[in-house]
Amino acid sequence: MAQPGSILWFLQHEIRVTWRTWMQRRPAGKKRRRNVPAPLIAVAVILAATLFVGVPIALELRDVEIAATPVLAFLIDAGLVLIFTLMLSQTLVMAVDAFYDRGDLDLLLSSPVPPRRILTVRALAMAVNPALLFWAISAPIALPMAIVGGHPNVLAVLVVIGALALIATAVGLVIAISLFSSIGPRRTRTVAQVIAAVAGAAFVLAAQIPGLIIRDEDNPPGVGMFSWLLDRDSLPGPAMWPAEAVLGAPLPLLGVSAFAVAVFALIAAWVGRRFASDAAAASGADTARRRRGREDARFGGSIFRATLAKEMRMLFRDPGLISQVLLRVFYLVPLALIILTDTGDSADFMPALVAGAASLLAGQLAGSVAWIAISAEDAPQLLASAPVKMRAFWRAKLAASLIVPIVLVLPLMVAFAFVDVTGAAVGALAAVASAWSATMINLWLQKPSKRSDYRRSWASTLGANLLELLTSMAIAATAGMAVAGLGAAWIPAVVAVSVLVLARRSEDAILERMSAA
Amino acid sequence: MDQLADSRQRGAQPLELRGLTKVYVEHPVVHDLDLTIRPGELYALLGPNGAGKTTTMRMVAGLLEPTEGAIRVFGVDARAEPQRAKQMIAWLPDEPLLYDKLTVLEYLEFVAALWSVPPDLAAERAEDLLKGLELWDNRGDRCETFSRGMKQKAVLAGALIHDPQLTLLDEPLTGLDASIARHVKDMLQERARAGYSVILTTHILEVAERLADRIGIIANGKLMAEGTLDELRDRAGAGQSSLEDVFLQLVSEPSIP
Repeated sequence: MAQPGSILWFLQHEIRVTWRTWMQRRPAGKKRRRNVPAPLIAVAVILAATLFVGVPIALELRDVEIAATPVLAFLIDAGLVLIFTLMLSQTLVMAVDAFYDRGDLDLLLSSPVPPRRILTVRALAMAVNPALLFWAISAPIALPMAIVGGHPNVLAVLVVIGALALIATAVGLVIAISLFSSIGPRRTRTVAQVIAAVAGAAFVLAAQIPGLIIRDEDNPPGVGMFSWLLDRDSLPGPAMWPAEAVLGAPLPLLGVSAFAVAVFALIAAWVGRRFASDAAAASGADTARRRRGREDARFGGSIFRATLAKEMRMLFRDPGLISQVLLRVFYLVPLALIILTDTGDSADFMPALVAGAASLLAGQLAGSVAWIAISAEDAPQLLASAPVKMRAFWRAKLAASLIVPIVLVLPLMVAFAFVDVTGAAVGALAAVASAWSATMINLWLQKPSKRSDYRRSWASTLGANLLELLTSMAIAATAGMAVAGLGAAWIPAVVAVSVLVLARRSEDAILERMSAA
Repeated sequence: MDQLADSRQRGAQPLELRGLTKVYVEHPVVHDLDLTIRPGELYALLGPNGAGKTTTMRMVAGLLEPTEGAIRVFGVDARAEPQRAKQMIAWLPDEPLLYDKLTVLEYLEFVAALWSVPPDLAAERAEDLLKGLELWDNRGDRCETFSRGMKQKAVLAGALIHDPQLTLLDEPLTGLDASIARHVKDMLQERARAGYSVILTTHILEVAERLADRIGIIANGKLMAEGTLDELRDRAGAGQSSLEDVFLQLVSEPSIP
């Protein structure tokens, strides 16, 4: 039994609370009693991946010697950088949230426990979160490799992931504190979210740069680099260490682990000293500034107009939310770059790509705004108690969801019409269809939530989001193939229509889903 | 007021609950509840935590579907014609849920549109309500900058902007300072005197004792007793005891037929 108030005791408390929260998580939209807790589903998926993916790979590599060649070291390094950027994206947001999310923070900070200790435990919890994700991804391969593949040293990858998570947490904390000091607590949250999103996509974006700037007719991008690696016996020392650590070399593994623990401990101690004062500053940040608006009344709008005006005001007065919506679209940029670079210089495909991209963009934007307007209604009780059928609100919310993508995408299509009229016309039609379908899927499969949960909305309504993305991609493919003059354009169109038919719910079913939540 | 006069002529009561029952996963939260609110009556619903007060109010406001039973608002079957019933009701939840990014005036504009209040009337009422609740100087401030008490006042203004004939208030005085709480109490009594009906839940027995024409005591989803304070004292055989003594005695009884 740990000493009350000690780091271990706090850690036990955090684990207990987190465990219970996880065990209560259920897939959306189903009756609670029948649902299996989300962690059990995750464990089942990991076991299945281990059996059906990890074991066959491990058996295949049983007699293969795994050595840190320059090519393998380069690939491992690149993988670790990718993992680190994704981890940083997560830990930065969590680091900022540690100062803002009140939860039990007021209780803890009002207790005689030193704030440094509270921060240390919070930081450890921050590190565990992304580590768990990558442990879950790597374990189905690493464990069979160690047990049946005869390569026990690859278990070191789990240690390296833990070390990376500690470093990502430390860096996240440093960025959060730097933002607090430089731009103040009020703007920190929004800016941190932007940095986190850019960090998440940075590696994939950066990886496309050689392909964009190096045009080699004979070799695809990257081939030149690999031939350079094949000509070498080894990479410069520091570039080999992470790879050697992943492959279980004792000294590099010890070095990486010690470095991570030292960085984490130093940063946690430094941030811990100012944690209480920064958390106190953050607690007043949201309410400290008076935001004045107009003082004249404009009564008399219809329900449609009043609801639409409300939705638009609430969206455009929330820069943090807008930035998150736009950043979600930003994640499509790497995908677009991959497609563009893979198609090389072929100008013939450009109108098809633009039409498809416009459709995808509109669908993603509409889906995000629809989630905010429909699922994240702030005062559902007010609407439910009003003498108005929910259908009337939905119409206004659907209009709000369509306005944003249409205003952003249609001018682009008008401009593109000067280059290719057919491509622009098909792109505009597909954009409207994609926005409409994404909005309707949000309405049919909504799960009432809070606006502040937008960042987690992808996970909380995973099924609806996957259907939304599938429909957008199918419509984008239809548009692109139609512009390219491919006869098979009807195939993705049928997919899109089928998904919409499957996702469609009656008004009663939607109302039941809302009241159940 | 035309609808109110019409319903009075028809002799319909502002609120009639018959056999109202709500069961959550085999656990009855409200059980076979019969209740009648009279015109111009200020009725206080008292009960310990988890007694079923809020569930009852939410069913009347149309936020929860009853498992069984009838709800009539001025003679209108609220389960069959929810929109007609809601037109006459205002619901004030215990937790003030507002739109943070709207100003209080924009919030009232939105609520007035929901209940189709004519523009001039809505503007006039908004000014009266905000001045009465000392929010007029903050009419251009976004609700996210408000304290809990100010949010509670904003929600109260929203509840009253369509001049409801039946007002349902769940813990309406929570978070209000003494002077505003006094103002709200006066406002509710004025509304009752003007013929409007008000039903409120409260944990503050002194509020029920001072304000209510009749008091209903609910425990374990059942109406244990109702009447004026004197009637409840007689029923509990508590002489000139305070409402607190009567309340504690009644809720500790196993059941009263």
